[in-house]
Amino acid sequence: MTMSGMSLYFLPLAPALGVLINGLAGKHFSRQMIAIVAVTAVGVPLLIAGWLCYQMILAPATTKAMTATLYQWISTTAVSINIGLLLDPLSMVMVLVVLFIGFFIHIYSVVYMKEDPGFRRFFVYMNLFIFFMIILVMADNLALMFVGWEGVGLCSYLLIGFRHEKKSAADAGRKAFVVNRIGDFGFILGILLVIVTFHTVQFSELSKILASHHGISNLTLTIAALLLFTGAMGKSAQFPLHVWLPDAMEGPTPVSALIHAATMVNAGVYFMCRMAPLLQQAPYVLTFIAVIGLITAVYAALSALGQDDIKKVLAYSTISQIGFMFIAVGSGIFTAGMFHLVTHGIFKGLLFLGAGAVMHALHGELNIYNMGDLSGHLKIVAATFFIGLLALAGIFPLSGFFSKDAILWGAFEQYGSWYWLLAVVGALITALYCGKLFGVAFLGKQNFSGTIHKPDAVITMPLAVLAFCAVGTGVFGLPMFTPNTLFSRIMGSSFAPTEAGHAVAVAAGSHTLEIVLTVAVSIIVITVFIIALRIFSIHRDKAALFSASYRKTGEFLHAGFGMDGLYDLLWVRPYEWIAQICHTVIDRIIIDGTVNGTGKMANATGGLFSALHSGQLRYYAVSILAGVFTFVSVTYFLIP
Amino acid sequence: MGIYHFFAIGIILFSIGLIGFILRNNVIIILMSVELMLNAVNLLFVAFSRYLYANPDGQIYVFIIMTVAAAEVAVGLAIIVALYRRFATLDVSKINQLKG
Amino acid sequence: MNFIAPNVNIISVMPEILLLLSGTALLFFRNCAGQGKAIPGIASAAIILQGLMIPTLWGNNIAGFNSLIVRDNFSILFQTMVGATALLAVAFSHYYLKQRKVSEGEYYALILYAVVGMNVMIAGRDLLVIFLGMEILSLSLYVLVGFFRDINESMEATVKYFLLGAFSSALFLLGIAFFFGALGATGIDNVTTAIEQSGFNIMLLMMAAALLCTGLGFKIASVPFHMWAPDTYEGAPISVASLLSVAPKIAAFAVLLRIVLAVSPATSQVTSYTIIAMAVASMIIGNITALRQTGLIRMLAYSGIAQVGFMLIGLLSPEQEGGPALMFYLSMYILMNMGAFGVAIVFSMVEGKRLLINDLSGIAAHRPFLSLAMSIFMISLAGIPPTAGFFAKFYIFKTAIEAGYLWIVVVAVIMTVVSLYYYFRVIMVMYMSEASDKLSTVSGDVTVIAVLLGVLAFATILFGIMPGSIIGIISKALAFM
Repeated sequence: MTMSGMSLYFLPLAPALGVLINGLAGKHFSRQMIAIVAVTAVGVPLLIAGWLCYQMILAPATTKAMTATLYQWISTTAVSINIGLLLDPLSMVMVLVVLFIGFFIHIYSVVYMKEDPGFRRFFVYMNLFIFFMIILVMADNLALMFVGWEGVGLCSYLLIGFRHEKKSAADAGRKAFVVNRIGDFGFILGILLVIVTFHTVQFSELSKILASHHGISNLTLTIAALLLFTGAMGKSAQFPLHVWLPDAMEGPTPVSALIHAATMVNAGVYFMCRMAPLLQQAPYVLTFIAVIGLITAVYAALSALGQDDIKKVLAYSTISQIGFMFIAVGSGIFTAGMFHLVTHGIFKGLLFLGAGAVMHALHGELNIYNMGDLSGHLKIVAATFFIGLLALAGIFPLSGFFSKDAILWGAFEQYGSWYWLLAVVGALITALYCGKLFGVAFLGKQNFSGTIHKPDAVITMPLAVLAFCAVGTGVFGLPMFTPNTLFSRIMGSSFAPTEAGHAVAVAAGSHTLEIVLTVAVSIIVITVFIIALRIFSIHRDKAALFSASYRKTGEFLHAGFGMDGLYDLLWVRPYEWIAQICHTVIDRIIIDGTVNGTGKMANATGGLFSALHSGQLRYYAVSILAGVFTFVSVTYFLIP
Repeated sequence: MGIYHFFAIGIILFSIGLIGFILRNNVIIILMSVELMLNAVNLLFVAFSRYLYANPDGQIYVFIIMTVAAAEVAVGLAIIVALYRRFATLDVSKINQLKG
Repeated sequence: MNFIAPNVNIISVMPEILLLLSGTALLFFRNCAGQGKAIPGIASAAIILQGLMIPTLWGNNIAGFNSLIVRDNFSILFQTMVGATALLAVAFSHYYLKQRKVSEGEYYALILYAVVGMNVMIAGRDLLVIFLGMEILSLSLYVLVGFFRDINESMEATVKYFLLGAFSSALFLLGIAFFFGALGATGIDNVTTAIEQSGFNIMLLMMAAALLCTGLGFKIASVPFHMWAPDTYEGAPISVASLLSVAPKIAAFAVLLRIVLAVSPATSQVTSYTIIAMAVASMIIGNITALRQTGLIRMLAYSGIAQVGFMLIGLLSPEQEGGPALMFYLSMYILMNMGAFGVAIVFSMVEGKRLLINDLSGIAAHRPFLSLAMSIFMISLAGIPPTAGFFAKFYIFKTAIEAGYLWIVVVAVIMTVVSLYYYFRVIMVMYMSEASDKLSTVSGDVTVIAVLLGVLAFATILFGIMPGSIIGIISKALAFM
């Protein structure tokens, strides 16, 4: 085995060692020691991954994928499954995202969790999460990926409920758990169907079979793809399985940043990219994914607009952005989806860490209307947060602009102008709530009474690094308007068979329309962002309090901000109203109701069975007799 | 008198045992019902052995089953004695603390 | 009349003779001072010794008593599984009884007799021999369940178990009688030839199959023959409940597998309908009722019912990979279920009779290793990778899909998803809830049991990561199929 083959094992091994050391011996360590172990367990594999990435870029196109098979896990007559790792450009990108963001979040957490009595437990869970995430990403087959898939789910469950003394935290953990099980159900059945159909779960063999004349019916392919997509929907919080993510914000903020923004929730997108060869051949599935992605993108953006809680805004924004990634997947431009995953991971991680810093500074305050004028007090946090929001809104020349633009254009090409227009609406609402968030929380007048903690350097350093990356990663989207961006060159052959046709089509098309649309959208987005910033920074009371608005609007007009007021009345109010509907009616009543109702029904059925179990011997005998009678009479009457 | 008569008698006896098991409250009578069921099976064995097959196996099985039944009764009565000491009743419908 | 002396071949039952002798010897030890460890020591030694004897018979197909008992590889494997379970139960019992200041030889003697019964069931090739084995097993268990005569729950449990057990034995016996009526013999090896020779009454044979499934369904506690299980497990000493929840199921599944294989050519419809009904009902009722349970043992009882439902799926395609899948599931079930009961025994040492799930709250802070072990067992029972339980379920589901039972697998997957809730609740309570004082004083020397639980937990993970070796052994044992 080559040097690099061996080093593949080290990527998951290091965080596992971190778990073992801190978990078994951590009781005797000082906090400093625990922190050093935990951070090293992520930092060292990050260095190795960087080295591997460098080698991969140098390697010729044919040998970009590195594999390492540990041993044969399962061997039966029908299928054999290996414990094997695969590091191709696709997983390389994910590994780097996970380790890079994970590393800085670990550093940040050392200070953030400093006072917490569960310090050791927290870092054990975090390292465990990184371990399972690496397994998920680097698995070379579906079964091993499922190991990581369930593992990260378990860690997420434990970390959401980390502050277990809060009842809401325990409830949120439970809800995340229940909703994710629906996704798992699809995933398990999907794997079983793949095994029965293809007799393999190895990604490389699957694509080989799919590339050949396999003669597998379209129906089977469609069902398998849909089942697997259900799994991705649960994990990546797509409508209507998104309800758990906003509640998951009960966990500590670094957890929200790492698991519920930058890495785990994106696993569904990664998974779909892995299954690209299957999706390409299953009719209608890509369209279905695109529709779900679009609904989620617009719907969650609207919901984000209606939130007062800074973390909930970011949570809905995450759901919405993942919706954009699924638009990319559904449009067949997997590279663009992965690019958005990378940029989003960075800027959303940045935003969550910024939100954490704000909470830290304001003694746990979450409501944005109780903040205001933070930019005066927390200069670095505000600056980095602003960069994050610009990237999120997709404003040139930040990274978010490049990735979102690629998605919008791909959607236009694949599904035409109406679909594109709706996606653009989603992007505009994104700009709107970005502006609102910054305007309300960081500008305007101060609504917070009390001292403001200054964050120390360990908190601001990761913010600065991530902010730099949020600006810088846009480079990989260059040169624009071609399928041959830097990022797609790095991705190299990952999607070569599936995207080749697409690339040819793009190359043949005219760029003029694309450029015009991009520029137009950019201008509108920037305008919306600035207007939102102005309205919400100066007159946020009005925007916030719907009931008292008319009187205030009068003052508002009187004060000479007529245009803003009109805009407020015409645009912001209806949006907020729709946002409220999305949040209260659809989320809380319909979807939560269904989830909780299912739980209640199962519970009630359990109660019925329990009641039948009355403790009376007689009924037990009757139960046996009923069974016998059924079996015997079935034998006698139904079978000739 | 043929196989069908014995078969019918056996099934009827077995059913009486079944019904007794379900309807009666007294543990001892329930135990007797079980014994009745076992004896009904014995009758079936003998009948099958005598009328269907020229094979004495079935008649030998009866002895084995009777032995087992005796052992069962021995253990059963011991349990019943202990039960009576504990609950001061032999009414099974009153012994229903474990449920749910 | 010529009398042909039967070919007894005493070697074929040497392990059982050993167990009977040592069990009988144990009866003479009673509450003597200073013999706290001697009695379970002798019992374990006997089980280990017979466990060592059994593999020496591997591959020899030793037959005894005119082939009424045949020790083929199939039965050797099942008997080894039973022996391992009994050994664990003896170890658990030692701690459980010590806690209650009881040390009686007859308790361990009864465990040994129960093992004899199960061995006879597994090796028996004649329904009547199997019935005898079942009775030896049951009579020992009746007494064991009611071992603490001064506890109300224990007596109630034993009465219910005894009466229902006798009832189901009678039904099983009726099945044997029908079988005999249909074929004129009770051997299960040569059903096909017997069908050709006899006057063959297919209806009688089918009813026999249904009734035999009933009797065995009671032993494995599958719905609708499951009602005794939660009450009995809860009332019995936990150490007995641990034995009861695993060992008889292994023996009964061995018999079921043999019967299904033997009679399925003639009665495939009945057996498969019966098994499907039992499997689906067990999965649904077991899992959903477990959601509501507050008592740990009762939850484990319902979880056991549900697990049996999953195992029964393997019986639907016994000729293909269903058999190995079932055996793999059973062997992993020993690890995870015995482990869960073992942890319950340690936790119950202070609390007393009824152990509630909520009593475990915050226990992880005081007992990190036990909590970790319990979490592993729960994760494995729930079927989450990379534990053994995952692969066990996965294997069974895969065989069922290949055999064309997709809808059953869909039900099974839904029910697996439901089961996660109550298994994970235990983990959540242990790790996330605030510490309650109820169990925080768990004390006493639990070294041996802790080591055993550690081994079980390790094995649960190990066989999840590398199940190949076990599957290799199993497929050798089933080579005759």
